[in-house]
Amino acid sequence: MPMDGKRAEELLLIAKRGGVGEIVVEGPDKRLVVRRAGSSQPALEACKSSVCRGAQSFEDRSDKETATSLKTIESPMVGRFYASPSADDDPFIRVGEKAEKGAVLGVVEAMKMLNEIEAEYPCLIREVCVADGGVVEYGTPIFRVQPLSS
Amino acid sequence: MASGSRLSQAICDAVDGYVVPANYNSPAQIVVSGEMAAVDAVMAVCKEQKIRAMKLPVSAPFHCAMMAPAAEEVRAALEGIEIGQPRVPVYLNVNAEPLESGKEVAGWLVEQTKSPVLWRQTLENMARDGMSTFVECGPGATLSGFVKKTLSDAQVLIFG
Repeated sequence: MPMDGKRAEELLLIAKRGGVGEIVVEGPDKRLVVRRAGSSQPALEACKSSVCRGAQSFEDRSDKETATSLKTIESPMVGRFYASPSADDDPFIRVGEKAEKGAVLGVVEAMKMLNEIEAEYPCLIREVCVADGGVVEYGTPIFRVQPLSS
Repeated sequence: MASGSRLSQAICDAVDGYVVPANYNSPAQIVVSGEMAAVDAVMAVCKEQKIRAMKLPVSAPFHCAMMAPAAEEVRAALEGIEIGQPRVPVYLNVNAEPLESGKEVAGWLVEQTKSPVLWRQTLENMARDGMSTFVECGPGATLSGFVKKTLSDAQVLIFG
């Protein structure tokens, strides 16, 4: 299926008709995201306060310049976030540690399907927003990271 | 059989007690289910062999023979419910093949309760039968991720 502008328009029409907020098309080497203006994620707002208990926070909140360059890694699904393989193990990553592209930062599990959260680019972990074992919604911020040049 | 499947089966066979592969999520991700001590033993072997393993806080050993009593309750609950013939091919996770008749649904649902979820094998058989585009509806992209890990040439559409 070609992923051009016309295709995007068709998908947008489908999204409108079906009341869908977002459509993602992924092929072996291309990715197209069509998002309706004004689509919202109310569940995300509702859960923000509850999931952040016990999470690790910024090391240096006064560093405003750095804070503005931070990026958020969000949960790709509804589920339970695991910061480490088990209670006896070290976390996949800690605040202040650097992650290479592709490194596993955590796991979100639902219905016994474990979705590894990977670093899409080299980055420094500045905040873990969700406590180990916390419930996350689709789009819940899990990590705040500072991108690093590779 | 994919290498992850062979490995998980070998580890389950090697430990004492009842534990079996229960969810074939992708070539590299398999969930095992069984007696607590046996699951812990599998965890220990994985740690030794540097295989990433996580213990899930679930309420029962789903999708294995230990669920047989629950499967009988499912059978009782489904008694008298008529299920029609599917209008499109429906693949079952329990045998990874398309359903042949609506009359079989109840029996397969009972079987599914105590049998492994053959998700990877289901995807592979769908590709075998000529399917190359997969559509996931709802928020998130969990299943799409597993499709891509199992079928590298598949196109995936996500409606969220």
